[in-house]
Amino acid sequence: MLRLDINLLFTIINLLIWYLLIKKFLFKPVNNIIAKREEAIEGRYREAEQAKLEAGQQKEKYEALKNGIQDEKDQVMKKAQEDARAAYQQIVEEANRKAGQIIDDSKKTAELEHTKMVSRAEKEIRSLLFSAASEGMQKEENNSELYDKFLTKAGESEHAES
Amino acid sequence: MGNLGEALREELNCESALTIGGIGISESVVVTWIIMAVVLVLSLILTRNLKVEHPGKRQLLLEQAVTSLEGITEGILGPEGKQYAAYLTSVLLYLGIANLIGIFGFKPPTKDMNVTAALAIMSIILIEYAGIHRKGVKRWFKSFAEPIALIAPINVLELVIKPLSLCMRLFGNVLGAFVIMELIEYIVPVGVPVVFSMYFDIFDGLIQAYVFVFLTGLFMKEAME
Repeated sequence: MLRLDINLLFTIINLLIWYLLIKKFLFKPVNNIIAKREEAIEGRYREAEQAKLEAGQQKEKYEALKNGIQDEKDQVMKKAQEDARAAYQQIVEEANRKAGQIIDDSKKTAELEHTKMVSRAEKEIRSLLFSAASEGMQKEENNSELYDKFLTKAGESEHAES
Repeated sequence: MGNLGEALREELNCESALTIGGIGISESVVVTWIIMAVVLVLSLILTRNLKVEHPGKRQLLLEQAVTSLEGITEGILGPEGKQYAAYLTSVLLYLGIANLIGIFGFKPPTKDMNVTAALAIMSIILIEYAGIHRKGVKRWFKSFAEPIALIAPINVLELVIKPLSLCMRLFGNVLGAFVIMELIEYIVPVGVPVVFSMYFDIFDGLIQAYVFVFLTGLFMKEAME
């Protein structure tokens, strides 16, 4: 038992081989699998993080889109209001213009009518005067009588006119 | 009592188990071969079909065992000596099995001084290699004169003392436990040896394996400072 011999060398060789075998066939596969698992977990964490980030970006995008829609809506509403106002203005102006025209027309017509009436009255008075004069000349009545007769005739013609 | 002495001497002798080409190969070497073969086959079987996801109970147990063994040596060596952890772990595993193999009726290889001497020689080589690798040859030589030049001879002597103490501690403990167990078995063959075997074969064997690895790791850490 207390002797050192060639078996010491054998034992050293044995130990070296043992070390290599254990390292290659026991430690390496086990450590490999643990490292792989850690990597997989790490990868999953990264994926989750990435997904979260993407979701956030998507949300922001939708938010922006939503805001854009709101803006557009506001713009369209504003434009429609403006258009409506303009159309309203135009219609009112048109109506005013037409009304003005109608009034003018009717004024003109009335004036024309008036002129016509006046000219007819003049004509009538002229004919009355003429007939009165001719009558006077025929009957030779006094002036006051003649005047009264004229007035009566004029009143009659005025009645017949209206 | 003559009988007892004779029986003991017979048990303690390390016979050459077989002879190849005139070279006697001792029992301890053969038992080491057996350990190597069994562990190799076991690890090949156990590391088959390792899964990254949803590992089975067998794989979890294996992973737990390997990581805790590596944790022991890595804890001793610290972060600087991580590359030596695999060797120390393999030595720890070998010594643990070798010290316990008495249970299965083999003679523990560590009862042969050739084995403990071989382990101690490899330890001192590794210790000094770690020191040189870390410090460079110049600083390694200088480190013998630290903390003061006066103790340089003692530091040089330590090159021999360290492995000798490692070797003898392991050898003595295993031999002592073996002798005590033989005596107990000789006197009371039934019942009592089981109780003592718990301490001398299992507890002491594992403790000595740990002590050997712990001291080697400690010396390496010291050499790397």
